[in-house]
Amino acid sequence: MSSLNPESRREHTRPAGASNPIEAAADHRSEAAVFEEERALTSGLEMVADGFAILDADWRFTYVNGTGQKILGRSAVELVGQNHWDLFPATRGTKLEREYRRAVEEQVLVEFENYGSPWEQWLEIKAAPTPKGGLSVSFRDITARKHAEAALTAITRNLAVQVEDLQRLHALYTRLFDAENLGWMLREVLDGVLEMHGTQMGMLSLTHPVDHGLKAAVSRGFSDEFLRLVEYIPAGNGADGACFQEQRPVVVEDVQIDPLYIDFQEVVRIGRFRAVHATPLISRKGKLIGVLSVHFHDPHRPSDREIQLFDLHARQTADLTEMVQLREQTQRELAERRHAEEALHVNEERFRLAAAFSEGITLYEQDGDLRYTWLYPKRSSRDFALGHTDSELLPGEDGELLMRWKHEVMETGVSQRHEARATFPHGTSYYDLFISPRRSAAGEIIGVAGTALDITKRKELEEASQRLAAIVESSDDAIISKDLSGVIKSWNRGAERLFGYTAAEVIGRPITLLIPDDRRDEEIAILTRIRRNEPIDHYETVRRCKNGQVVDVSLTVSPVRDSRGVIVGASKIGRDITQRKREAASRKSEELFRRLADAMPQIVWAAKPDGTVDYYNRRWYEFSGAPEGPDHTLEDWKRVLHPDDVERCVDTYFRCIRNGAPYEIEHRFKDHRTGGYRWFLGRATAVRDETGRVMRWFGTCTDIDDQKRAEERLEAIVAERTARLRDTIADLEAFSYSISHDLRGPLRSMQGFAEILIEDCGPQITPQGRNYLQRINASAERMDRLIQDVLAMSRVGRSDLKLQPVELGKLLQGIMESYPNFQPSQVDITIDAPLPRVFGDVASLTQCLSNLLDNAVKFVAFGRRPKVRIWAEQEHGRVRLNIRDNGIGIRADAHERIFGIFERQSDRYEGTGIGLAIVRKSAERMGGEVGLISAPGEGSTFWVSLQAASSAPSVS
Amino acid sequence: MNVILYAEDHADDVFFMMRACKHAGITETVHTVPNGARAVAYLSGSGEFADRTQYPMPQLVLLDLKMPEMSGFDVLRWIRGTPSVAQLPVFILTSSNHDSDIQWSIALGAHGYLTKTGKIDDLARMIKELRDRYLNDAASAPR
Repeated sequence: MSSLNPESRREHTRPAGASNPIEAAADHRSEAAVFEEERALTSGLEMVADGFAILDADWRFTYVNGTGQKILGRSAVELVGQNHWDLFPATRGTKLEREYRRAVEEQVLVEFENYGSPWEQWLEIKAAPTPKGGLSVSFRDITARKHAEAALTAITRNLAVQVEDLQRLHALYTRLFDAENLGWMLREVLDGVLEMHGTQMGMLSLTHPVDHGLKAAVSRGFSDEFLRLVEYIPAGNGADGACFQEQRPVVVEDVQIDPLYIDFQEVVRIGRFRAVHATPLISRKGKLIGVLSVHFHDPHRPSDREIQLFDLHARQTADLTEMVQLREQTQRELAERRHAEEALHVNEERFRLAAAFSEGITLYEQDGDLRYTWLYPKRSSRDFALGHTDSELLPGEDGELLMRWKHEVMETGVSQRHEARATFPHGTSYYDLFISPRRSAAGEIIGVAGTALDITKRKELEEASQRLAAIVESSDDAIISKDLSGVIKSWNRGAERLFGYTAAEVIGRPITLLIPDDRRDEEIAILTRIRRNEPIDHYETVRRCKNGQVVDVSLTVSPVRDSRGVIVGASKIGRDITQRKREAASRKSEELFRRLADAMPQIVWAAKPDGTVDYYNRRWYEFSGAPEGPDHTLEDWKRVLHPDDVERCVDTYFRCIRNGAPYEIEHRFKDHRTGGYRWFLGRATAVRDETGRVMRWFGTCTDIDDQKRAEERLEAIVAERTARLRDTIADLEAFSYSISHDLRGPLRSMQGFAEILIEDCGPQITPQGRNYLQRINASAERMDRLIQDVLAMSRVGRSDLKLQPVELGKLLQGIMESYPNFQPSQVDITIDAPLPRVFGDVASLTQCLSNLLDNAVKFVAFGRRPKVRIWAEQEHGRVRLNIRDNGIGIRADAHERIFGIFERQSDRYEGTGIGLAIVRKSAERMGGEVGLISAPGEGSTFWVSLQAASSAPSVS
Repeated sequence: MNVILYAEDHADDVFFMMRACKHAGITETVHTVPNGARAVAYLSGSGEFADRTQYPMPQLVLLDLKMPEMSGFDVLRWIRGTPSVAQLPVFILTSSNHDSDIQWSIALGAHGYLTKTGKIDDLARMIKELRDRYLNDAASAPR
């Protein structure tokens, strides 16, 4: 700022009314002097850069220097003498007038800046009252300064905003710096950004860990619907996607016209925004962390400040995000490490405890040369090993093996586990050896380390238990263990043999499987005793096998305890005593048998399966005189047997022994008391076990001598009589044969010659002689019929019958056709057809029926025409054929008699008296019956009943 | 010349046969022999029977069963076993109607079994029928 002369400045600056020596002196200055002063001043004023003007009391310009004229835009001529207000009416009523008048009225120096018409420029004005009531005014154009000032102010204000923003940012990020939760931090960031941008919509998305795109982390002002759509933003989609892809800020002033959103108008509609400003979140390390975007309801062009601020936010957010992420990760890692440490600690603790408890475990470390460098737990007895290798410590195979394994581990870097053996002079130890590689910090293998668990005891136990198991397995007894609920836990081979189940079949199944239903209570009692720790010794009972068979067993049951001595089950030793029982039973039965056998009248003996006799009862010794004793040889038997029977008996006996077939034979034994032989019936049967194997033979020899002799006698008689009978029959045959051939010959001659006599000598013979000849002829004929009938009769009883279905109708028809006296011209025979079929012999039946028919037509009252009706009745599978005649009838008392041979009812009728006998005999031989219903004068009905033949084919 | 050989030991029966033949008007020669052995001799042409002009081969043989020396069965068995005469028609003519006789006869190859009757007329009918069947034109062709 320029200044007027020092005095006036002093005056200007001096408060009004103040009096000091200098001012007082000035007051006393002369007009001239003043004038001179003024001129000098004026000329001086002309040179100064400021404008300067003097106004008189009437506001008229009295002086304006050159600069003043330029500033005011008027020349001195135009200005001097002119009233300020008239000349610059625009200044009236302005600050300028107010200040000027105040300076005059209050006689004070005013100093002010003014902008306004007519000059339209910033003027810095100083106005001081003159002694003449006027005003001296200096003014200077400060427009440039004012502009600079304005600019400065603007800058200052801008800076202030920025500072404010930064302060807010700072505050925000300071606050967020300790954020442990990324989500919360990001929300805070977003809220801060939105506040600064004066909008309510925005989103912060983070780089998707897998896909090439963004995943919305936090958002404000969007609907859920929109958020669902933009939850994942692929690279290149929309402003955010483009920003992510290109890693630079993207500004979309209006989504409706921006090509980025051509494909996303629907999304934009749902999101209800018109403008987007997206900026990448790039960490200090250049890593793209995500995208921050703000959205506006209306088209929006962001200001520089917005852009700057946005970038600032983005950078800060990126840093912060990365930091928080890192922190989160770190914390996670820390947590993990802490956990691991804890775990390690626990493990160590555990390990320490384990080591303490498991006496046998040794930890070792060996260097690259496999020399022991460390052993834990420390024991002086082991210190000698330090600095040595396994092969040094264990000369021989054991050490070599160890060395080989350890070398392998060092070479491959892969842990190994082995069962190792160490043979020391005092004994052999076994170890469960674990070898793992030891590595340096750099990962180099520098040796091995591991554990060695002494399993020598376990091995010994294992071996002992194996030995025990082998003993159990090989035991003939069934050895079973079960738990307290009766479930089978182990099962040896003996049990398999005894009960038939394999171990696989029964382990896990209840022991009751073996217990017959009626013994279920036993198991409960056994378990109860076992729980009370009471062993059971040789308890005899029965058990059921797989095949359902029941075996006698002797049980010994003992409690099984766990390592703490608690009873957890039972072991059961079962021995099959079936054999023993059986033996006892058989001893008992043998005893009974002996007593019984001795009481019997027969010789009783028993033999082993091979046939060796091991027992005879008392009778044997009494009869045979053989010495009593346990040993009986075959020779004893042979000696007693009749010499003729020995071979037959011995053969039969041993054949039966081989086949197991029942033995039965008749033979003679020598009675030592009389020296004679007696017949015996020897019998024996095998006694078998359930498998069918022969256990023993039991036999008897029954004295059948009396019986045998009686039988022999009887047989002799029968044979004799049969022979006689046979002779008789043969004689009879011959007789009947000769009757047929020889007896009929003379009759024929009689007949023939009688006939020839009449023929040749007829005229010479008197009628009486002719009558005699006819009577000779008739007698011969009757004799021939008699002979024939007798032969027929005898043949009926002897000939062989062939029973077959016979059609009665056809048979009768045939008979009627072949006999002249049954012809219709002679008799009326009515047959009620159809007649059924019967079982019969055609010849016998023909003989039977022809005889009946013959009788029916014969025995009719003289002069009466014979009428015969034949019909059949069927009942209960039998056919009754009835033949009714109109004959003379038969008295009831003769009904039975007439069937006898040679029985004739009437002398008036011709007949041999044999017909009905033949009828009855032949009917009876066919299994039939004959009978009659008759009374004198009422005719007779003879009937024959035979077996009906319904289905079989017929023969007539 | 047609010839019938009749073996029959019973003179009455031979007589009846001759009479029956006369009744029936049979002109053919019926040679009778009294037993089986003679029948065989005749058929084999031995001895006196060698003269076939006097004893020509018969076209029909009738045999009684029960004969001395050789029975009818024996002769029949011989005939069927002798090729030169095996084809001859042989009938059994006997008084027996025994089943066994009938069956044996058929079994041994008899052409038929006939029972004797005392009635000359019956016998005549029988011999006539035989002659007609076996000795006429077809006589040389035994069935």
